Amino acid sequence: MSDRARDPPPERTDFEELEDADDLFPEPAATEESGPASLTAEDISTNSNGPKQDSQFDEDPEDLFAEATEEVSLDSPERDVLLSDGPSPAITPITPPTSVITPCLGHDDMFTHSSFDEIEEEEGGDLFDMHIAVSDPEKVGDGMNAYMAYKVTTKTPMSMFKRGEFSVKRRFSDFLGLHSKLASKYLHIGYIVPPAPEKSIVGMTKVKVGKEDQSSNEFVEKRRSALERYLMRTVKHPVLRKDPDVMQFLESSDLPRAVNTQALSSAGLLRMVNKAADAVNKMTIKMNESDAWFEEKQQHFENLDVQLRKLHASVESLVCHRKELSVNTAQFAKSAAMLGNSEDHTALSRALSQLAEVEEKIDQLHQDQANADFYLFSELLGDYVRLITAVKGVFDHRMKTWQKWQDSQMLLQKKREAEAKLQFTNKPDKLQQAKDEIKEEIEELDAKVQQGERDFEQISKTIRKEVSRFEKERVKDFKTIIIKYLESLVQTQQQMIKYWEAFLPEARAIS
Amino acid sequence: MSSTLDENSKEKMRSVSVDLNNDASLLIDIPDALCERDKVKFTVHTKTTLSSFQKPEFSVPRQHEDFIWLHDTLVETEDYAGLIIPPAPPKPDFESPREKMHKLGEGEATMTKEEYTKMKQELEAEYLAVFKKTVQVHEIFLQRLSSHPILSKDRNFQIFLEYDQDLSVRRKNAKEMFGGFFKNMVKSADEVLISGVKEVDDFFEQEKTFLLDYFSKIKDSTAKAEKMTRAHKNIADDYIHLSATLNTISAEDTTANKKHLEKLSDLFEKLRKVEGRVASDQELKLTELLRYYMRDIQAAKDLLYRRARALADYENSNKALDKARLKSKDIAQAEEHQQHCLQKFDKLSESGKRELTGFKGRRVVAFRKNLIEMAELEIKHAKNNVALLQGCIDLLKRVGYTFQTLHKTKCLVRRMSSCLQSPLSFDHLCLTENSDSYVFGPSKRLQLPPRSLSGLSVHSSQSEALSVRGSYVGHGANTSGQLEVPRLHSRPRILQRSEGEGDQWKKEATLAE
Repeated sequence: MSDRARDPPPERTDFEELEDADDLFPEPAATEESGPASLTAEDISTNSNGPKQDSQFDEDPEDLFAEATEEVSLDSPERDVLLSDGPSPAITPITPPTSVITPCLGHDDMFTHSSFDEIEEEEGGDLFDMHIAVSDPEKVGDGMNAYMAYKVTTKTPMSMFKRGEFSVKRRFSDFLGLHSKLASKYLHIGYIVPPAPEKSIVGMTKVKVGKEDQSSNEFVEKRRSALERYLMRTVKHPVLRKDPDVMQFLESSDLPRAVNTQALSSAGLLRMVNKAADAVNKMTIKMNESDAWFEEKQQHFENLDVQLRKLHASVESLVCHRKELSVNTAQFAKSAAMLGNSEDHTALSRALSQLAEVEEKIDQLHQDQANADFYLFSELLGDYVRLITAVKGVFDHRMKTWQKWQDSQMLLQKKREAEAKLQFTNKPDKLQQAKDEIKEEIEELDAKVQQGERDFEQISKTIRKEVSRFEKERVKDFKTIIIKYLESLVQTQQQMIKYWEAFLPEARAIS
Repeated sequence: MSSTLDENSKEKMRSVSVDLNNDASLLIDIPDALCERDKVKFTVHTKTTLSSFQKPEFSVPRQHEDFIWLHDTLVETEDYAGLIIPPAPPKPDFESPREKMHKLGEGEATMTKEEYTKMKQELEAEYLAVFKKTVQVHEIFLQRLSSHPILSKDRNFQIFLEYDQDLSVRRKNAKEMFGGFFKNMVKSADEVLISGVKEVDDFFEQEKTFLLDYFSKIKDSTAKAEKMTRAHKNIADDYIHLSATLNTISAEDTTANKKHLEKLSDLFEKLRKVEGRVASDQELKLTELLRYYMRDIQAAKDLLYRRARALADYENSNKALDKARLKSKDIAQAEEHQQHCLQKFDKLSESGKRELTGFKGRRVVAFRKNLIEMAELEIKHAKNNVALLQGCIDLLKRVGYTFQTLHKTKCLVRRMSSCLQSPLSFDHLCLTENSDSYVFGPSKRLQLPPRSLSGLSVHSSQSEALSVRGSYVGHGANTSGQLEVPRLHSRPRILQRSEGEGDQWKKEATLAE
């Protein structure tokens, strides 16, 4: 590659930073010794990167193979002991999980020796092999009670499912129901639950009414694609994936209808009230942030939110303009065709007709490109804007947890003071009873305070893990989709070249 | 703002009409123009070998109105009734960029400084493009006159070129003489008269039908082409915003995404330049072409109209002659008048035929040239785009790769050194860089212990693999091995084993593809 040389310079600095990074290929010593290494790996599997183990993309120097690594100093005394052992399978370099950028080369070159390999293999290969597709939107029913049913197909080699491939029919409210269940279970303990696609009353009404036109088709396609992305994101999450609700959603043919998701139901109103209350609370809670990491991350997400929204708006404008270009090109094509017809010089007339044809093809190209702009780029950004809202929500929950803890602590304090006061009262008969009462209350509150503290620490820990996972996912996601998008742009341009090159001899033929 | 246009750019622009300015006896160009508020002042420069001019080379300042005056006088001149008078250049129109500049000023607060600067640059470029176009159009007008055998000898034309004082005095006289309203009346009677008069000549009948139809079509095409160009420009503007926002995000990003975003932002910046050029090339080759010939066809229609009027005059004079004969009064006068009309009509028909045929030829040639050039430019720009995009894709794919692989190589090397019973830690190796390889060599801190890894080098080879070669001095024997890290794989594999005593690599599995 001629521009190979270009690469070294920018990577240089990264090198120097890496010198002390974790060893990718942990001392086989670890595995040889015992289980501990395998256990650690197992334990970390919940933390692993998502789909198609793309450690290739993982540029975090610290965590290169966090799940597979144990830092063992090369100069450690144990090493000598081990190395003096006979042929150690450990010499074989351990394979990192399969790369996915070149799926065609996907055969697994596994060094099969060490058990450690197997652990890695499990993480790399098996860990994320689930694939969910949402397809075949079908209109069920008629009139205002009609709805779209989507086929959800799951392909997975994972053992926790009964079969390797199965599909069920679901409707939009089922998805919302799933999300609300997951949110109620996991948001408050700090897991970032991917948000479900938004409701759209206008869009659905058109579909229900039965308008079989371009815009309602587009709406259904947009929704189908959004639902698919939603499910994929949900199952990519190592904890959510194992949730029984998720499994039920994917597997069981009968799902209880989720009525609480209707916008105008009582549950819906309740949700709105709660949201408002939350917003007010958020403004009043003043948290003593002891951990700079959280403050920094919150700021980071705030900024990211603003920028992503801006970017999203720009991309939407791009989609709009490209659609406009497509329409204008089509109009021009028609006009050029008419001009060609009215032209009396035969060769020029033919050339003009050819020009009209080329422009017509190009208009189709623009249309397709606009779709790619939208479905790849714009939707990605939209998804992430919503995801970041979820992330911010998780941070808010942490604040609430802290608040709860502080509140119980304050209450405990008050009770203790009351207890102390009781010591000095002069009502001996009531005293014992009151004292006992207060003691009980204090014990209760103490337990509460301790629980509150534990909760707070737990949620902080979870959030840290979640955020780091989220960031990794984000990097990967963006990269994959951006590459796809750029490839779509390349395709368009290459087609354009073909069309114009076909036109050129026609133009030359004018005499 | 003043601008000097070099020969090269003028050459490129002067594509709507070919074969101009080739006659050395009268060479005209507009080398300079000044823009003050709404008025543009052109410097008309003439080089001539003709004796009818006072000097062989001279320049005069002219305004747009002067050009219009010249055009109008030519149109009104009876003698030129049988010629297609080159269409007058349209008034310089800076409305569109000015409006955009205004909007930009209002929206300044919502953009980053870079974005604002870039948008401003774009607008300034647009402004400049309008400016260049108007100069070109005025220049072509003069050049068509100079290359016309009859029109180039026109007295007013000469005055226009030579008269070194302000023409506005003359202009006022001309206006009074001809009266603007007369022209307008003529124009509105245009279609009616042409369709009303019975045509005697097949050639003209055909031409009439053709031109009427063609005119309406080409007018429509011009409008649509303009819309297309504008949409392209909008897309280029969107790319600016994209690029700027990506830049901001990447600046604040601390993850691996940072590099990706920087590259992406850079890419969009480049793409928008290409897109902008696509838009302007399309404008020049297609839209301008159509616009120019739309006006030219109008001029041809005017010729037809004049001829039709002459025909009507002739027919009227015939009727008058008949009447005179009947009344036996003023016969001679009527006859003379009729003869005069016939002559005029014949002259018009003859020169009209010549002009129209020439016009068709000119048109076909110009279309051919422009369509070819446009197709070539589109191909060029699309290829450019592909190169930019592909380059970025490769970089994105590789940014992860190289980083990752070299890091892995390092770790592998570290492990190798440990396997090879070297007490060296990776710290003892340092990295230097050749043009296409990295060499890990012993660092200065090194004191060579009996068993040591004396150096590893990383080379890239044709097979797009990184190979790590190392020699290992251990157990008193020299061994070397080769570790290849394939480009697209993330797993390094040991390909070659080494010889030598006490060498652990022997046990390694060699993996073939």
